[in-house]
Amino acid sequence: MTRAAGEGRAAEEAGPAWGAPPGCTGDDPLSLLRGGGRSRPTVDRDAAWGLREWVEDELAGWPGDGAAPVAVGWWALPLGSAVPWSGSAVTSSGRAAADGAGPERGRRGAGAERPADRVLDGLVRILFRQWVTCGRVQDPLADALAGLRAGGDPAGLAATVAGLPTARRRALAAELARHVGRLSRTWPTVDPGWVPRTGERWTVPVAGGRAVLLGHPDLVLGWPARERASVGLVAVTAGPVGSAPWRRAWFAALVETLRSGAPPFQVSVFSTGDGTIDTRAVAAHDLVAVAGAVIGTIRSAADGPPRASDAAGVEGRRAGDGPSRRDLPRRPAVPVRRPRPEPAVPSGDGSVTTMRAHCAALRPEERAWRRGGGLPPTVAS
Amino acid sequence: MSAPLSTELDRPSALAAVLGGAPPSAVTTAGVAAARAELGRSLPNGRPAGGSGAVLRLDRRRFAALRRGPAGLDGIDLPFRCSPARCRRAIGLDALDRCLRNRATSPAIAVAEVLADAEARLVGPGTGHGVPWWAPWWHRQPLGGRAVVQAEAVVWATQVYTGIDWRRAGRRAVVVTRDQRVRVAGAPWCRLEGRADVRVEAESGGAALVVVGSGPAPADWSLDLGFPALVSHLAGGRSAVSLVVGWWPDSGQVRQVRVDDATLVAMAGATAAAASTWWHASVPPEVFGA
Repeated sequence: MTRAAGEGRAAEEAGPAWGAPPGCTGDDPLSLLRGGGRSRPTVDRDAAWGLREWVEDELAGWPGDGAAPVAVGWWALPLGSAVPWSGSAVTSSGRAAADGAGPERGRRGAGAERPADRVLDGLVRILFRQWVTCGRVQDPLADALAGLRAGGDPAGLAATVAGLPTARRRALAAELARHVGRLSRTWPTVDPGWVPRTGERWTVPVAGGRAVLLGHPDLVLGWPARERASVGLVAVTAGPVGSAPWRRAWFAALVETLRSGAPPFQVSVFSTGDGTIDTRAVAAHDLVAVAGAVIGTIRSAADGPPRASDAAGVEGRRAGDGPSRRDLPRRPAVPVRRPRPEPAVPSGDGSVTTMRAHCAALRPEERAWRRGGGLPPTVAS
Repeated sequence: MSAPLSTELDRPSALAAVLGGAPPSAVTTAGVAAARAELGRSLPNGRPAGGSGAVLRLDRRRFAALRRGPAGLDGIDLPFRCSPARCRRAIGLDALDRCLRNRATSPAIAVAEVLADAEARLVGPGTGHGVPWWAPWWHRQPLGGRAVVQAEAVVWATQVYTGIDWRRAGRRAVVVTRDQRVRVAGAPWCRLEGRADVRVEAESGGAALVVVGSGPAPADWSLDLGFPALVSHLAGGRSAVSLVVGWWPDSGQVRQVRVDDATLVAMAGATAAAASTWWHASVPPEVFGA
């Protein structure tokens, strides 16, 4: 089924259509990708811009790296049990049960997961891109290597595979074929009207350009938000749904919010290891927690954020994407600060309110000034 | 030079409001003449003495490189190599054109149609006619490589198509598929090539150019945006460009440059300075008595 652009947007904006499409049950993958029948939240632009202002304010005194902007990616999110990126809320339980994993899989602690093989994860992610775009895979390993080489292979995965002994290479090809088989059986066909795009690389400068946040979701669905949140993000992993893909997904959610001024309505993780999709609705306090963790990580580093030593897979860049973390000097590991609570802002009557409430209460001219649109209201008046 | 987008509106509507609200042209004939005069005065006359007769095709990329001075000379004349990042705009523009003309229902479908059309021209009967420049390279790629090209083009086309409310953008939005080229009088070694992605005719009679960038906006974004406006005015012809909107979807940044006489003259000076860097580097040392 295809829809014209205007019709597609109208359908996406319509209230009752937010639920599952006809024929989808609550745990159907397509229904999960659409939000599982939940009502999508109204976009709070003031909160989104307030989040941006908070990040800028907190990093205003951070000196940066000197010459080049510092690249900050999902690896800046610390591990922990009390943060949204360490667990999931909704699982495609029916499909998971059929694969023998069960809904408990999504509730595993971070320590119970097996870290996905870096090479396998990168190959699976590029094959996922091919599957969503073209709908076919011929020879999984050959296709993945061709895709990596065409894109410049900034992570050096193709060279790593080429250096493997023949037996390990064959085993990798067989493992990859199993993942692609699971992908083809479990990943739903997405309507082109959902405008799916794979492998977007977001680069949002913060702190006056001294740092650049790199968001790299594997799949983005939905039109840009108007009244209601309409964008869903998906991260793909070859291993079980653990902390790494969730951190990628939540970090991308933060970058999308800062980039577009509207948060996504949910983040999802799709595992080709067991063919399940886990989703979690995005709430404002989750994004504040993510932003606080990123701010804390950057500020707690004595001379910059931690390196991307655990950044798996195809985290490569295009020409013109800004600074390369490979160009930056390596730094020692640094302690990680816990996420900060939502900042308190003193209000005019002496009481203390939260940043979100404070931004919502600002007059339009104050908001414009805070976004750099002229003189402060007190000066202008 | 740049006004912030409205934050009361969603981003596609805010961008459309900017494009549709492009002011009437503030550029006069005298302003264009002054920009020509600035170029003629600041650019070295004639070809580089003893040089090979090479011509500088000053496009956006070379302009950005040469703005860094002699340090930017490295690599500007490297042979062109196809890549997904370089093909995606060309394929994406064609797909965007199909979407805006309602010939395709979504960017993903439009890109698939563009690729199928290119393949048919390449290998079908009557081969070779109207084959896009990227098609032979793309066709030689294995399936995995083709998929990356297609995915990159889908991303580009989707970002641009969904990022602007085209119904509100203005009287007419046209995808710009050809660069504008202008020769500079008195400097036969220099040719200016202006590139924009979309041109929108506003209700006011002015026109807005949309320049889509990748990554974050550069620090000297105003020069990046003023360059296609300068070339457009030097080329003459269609309704005058009064606004250039730079849009970097990867970072969400939007910048605007209002075009007037002073902007054109300033851009002519910056362009001449960048081109002169190349000219002086092309002069053999013995000309300076070295």
